[in-house]
Amino acid sequence: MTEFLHPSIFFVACALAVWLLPGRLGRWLPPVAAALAIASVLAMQPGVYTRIGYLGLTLGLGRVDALSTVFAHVFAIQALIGFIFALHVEDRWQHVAACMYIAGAFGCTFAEDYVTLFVFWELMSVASTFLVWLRRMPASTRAGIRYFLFHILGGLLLLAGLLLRHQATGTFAFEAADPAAARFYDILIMLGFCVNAAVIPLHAWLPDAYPEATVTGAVFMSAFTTKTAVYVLLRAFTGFEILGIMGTLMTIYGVIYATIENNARRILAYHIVSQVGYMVAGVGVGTAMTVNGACAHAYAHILYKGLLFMGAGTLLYAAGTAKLSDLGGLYRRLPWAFLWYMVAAVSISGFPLFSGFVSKTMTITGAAEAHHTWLALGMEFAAVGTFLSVGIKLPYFAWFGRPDPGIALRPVPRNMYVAMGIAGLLCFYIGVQPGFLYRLLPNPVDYVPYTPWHVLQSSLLLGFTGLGFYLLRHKLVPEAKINLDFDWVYRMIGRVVLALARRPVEQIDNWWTEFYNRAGLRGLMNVADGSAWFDKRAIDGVVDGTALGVRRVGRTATGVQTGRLQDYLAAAVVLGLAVFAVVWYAG
Amino acid sequence: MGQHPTPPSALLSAPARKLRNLMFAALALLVLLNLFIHPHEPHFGLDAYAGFWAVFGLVGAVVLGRAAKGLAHTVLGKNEDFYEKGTEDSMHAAPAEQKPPHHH
Repeated sequence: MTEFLHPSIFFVACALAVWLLPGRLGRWLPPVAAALAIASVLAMQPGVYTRIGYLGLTLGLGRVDALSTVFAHVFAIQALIGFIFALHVEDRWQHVAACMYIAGAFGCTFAEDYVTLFVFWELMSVASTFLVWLRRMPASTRAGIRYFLFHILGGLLLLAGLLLRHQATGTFAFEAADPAAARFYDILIMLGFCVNAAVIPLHAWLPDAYPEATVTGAVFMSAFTTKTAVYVLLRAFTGFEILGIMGTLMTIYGVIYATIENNARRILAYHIVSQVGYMVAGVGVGTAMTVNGACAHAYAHILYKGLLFMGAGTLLYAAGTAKLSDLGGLYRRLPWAFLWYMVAAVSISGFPLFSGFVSKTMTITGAAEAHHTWLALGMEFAAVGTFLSVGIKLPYFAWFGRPDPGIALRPVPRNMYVAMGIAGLLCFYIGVQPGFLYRLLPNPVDYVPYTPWHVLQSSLLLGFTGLGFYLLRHKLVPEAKINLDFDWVYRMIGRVVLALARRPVEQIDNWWTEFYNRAGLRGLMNVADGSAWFDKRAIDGVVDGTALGVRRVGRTATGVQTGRLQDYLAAAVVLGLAVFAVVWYAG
Repeated sequence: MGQHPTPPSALLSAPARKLRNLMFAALALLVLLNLFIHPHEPHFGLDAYAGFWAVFGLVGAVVLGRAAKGLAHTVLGKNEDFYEKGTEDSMHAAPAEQKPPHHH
């Protein structure tokens, strides 16, 4: 036990302390918890720790090996950077939600069995939903509900898969599946993972919810959800060729939308889809080199994508909008945000000397050497789109583009710049000292990034992409529009289902009213009132008007008398647990 | 879009023009270097030729920019209140279809 202290402990304890401590004291604690987490990750030795018996089942909470360590390493660093960025936030519930969310991410990373994984997986879903809701705006409330529904779907796929798998194999062990003999339950589990990895067309929640999250919440969310999903895909589904193809499609799909979107944070969100595509493709190709590439890219990506979200978040915080069509010419008034954003932008674009160069080229070269030429070419094309959209278009129209429209700017707290500085310096450090990152990777590294050819090839690709932007700069002007995505399909499905379900639900509601009127279930009703009171007071205490907002939206969305989305969600969770219990005792 | 009475280059100040020309020179230099520095092992025929990645980057950027904007101007682009309209209107009527935005 001395060699392993589970990092989730620090964050759960921190969440409790922030909740209980009076006044503003609590917000200084999360960076301390993150620093302790970094220390515990650095002190870890490979092995298996913290096994606990529960209901006759052995739950493994502490599998430490090269693969879990590299993810835990960057999770801990990004937690520290994120909490420094969020130091000025006075709303304690945002800190509590972020702490629980990160605790969930560490729990998934060290989980040895599917039951443990599932528990922490759901913790992440719930906590991250609050990072959206706590922005306390009607659009955030609605986006948060859609986000949560999507993650319930992913969680249920995972749950169904792991239960079927247990029935067939008698084990919950979280181990690699065989690509040559994939069973139905493997596919279900993989689909559950793919929801969180934002594999198209299951990605719709990401560009929908991230732009609506709090300024600091989006920084956390950009780091943990999709990368935890990449980790579990690496653990279980390395070498599944379909992931190689889907990943490459993701890289291109994401940059197409990033090129036309107007909201800076939505551009970055679409670009997560693209970047996670490189990692998913690395998992799918499945050679030692592409697995390394996926891990290295996840590590580098968490740092620079967090920094990009910090830069765009600073725009939103200072100017009150992240819409490029309303911004422009801000380089004189927000020079530091511009500088650190550009460090992240050249990192993500894969400029030599910055972190993306030492990780992205590894995945692409690995795919090419494994004779997946089309995948490699697709990823090179997406690299062009990356620089075009996130590297040039976004900063050009936010910081240059046109004369400063003279928006009144809110002063930016210094801690936000400190966090950006740390992230920016790390992006540069990894770019010039790739050995630091390569030593952490699960397989021995046989790849030298700094050869004359690699440097020249990247320079040619990026330089001429820049020329392409120069020629198109009047065509690419951002427009105050939104763009349809698979999101539209899901919303339409939702509407059709609600329209179909409306009549039967109303009928059941009528029968039920009739039934308890006749049976006189007064006692039961009192209990129900009590729980409703608790729900209203407790939940509203947490998010002020948000719970009421949720109910209002729920009512509008369902259009039925009893349409309280929260109650349905609670009922769904209870039902899920009941199904689990029945299967458990029957099996 | 693109209705500029004067050609864009004429709007550039003297230092900006200088910077632009410097950039063009750097791009030319990169292609020149490509004549002497070759790939470790070409993975498909064309990438053995000097300038392949220059053409790939330029054509890729232009094709992507044109295609993406084309999609936005035809099927994908909607007004910002597109979804809000759908929820506040009657739930049973299909949301009013928006006309594709005009840009010319």
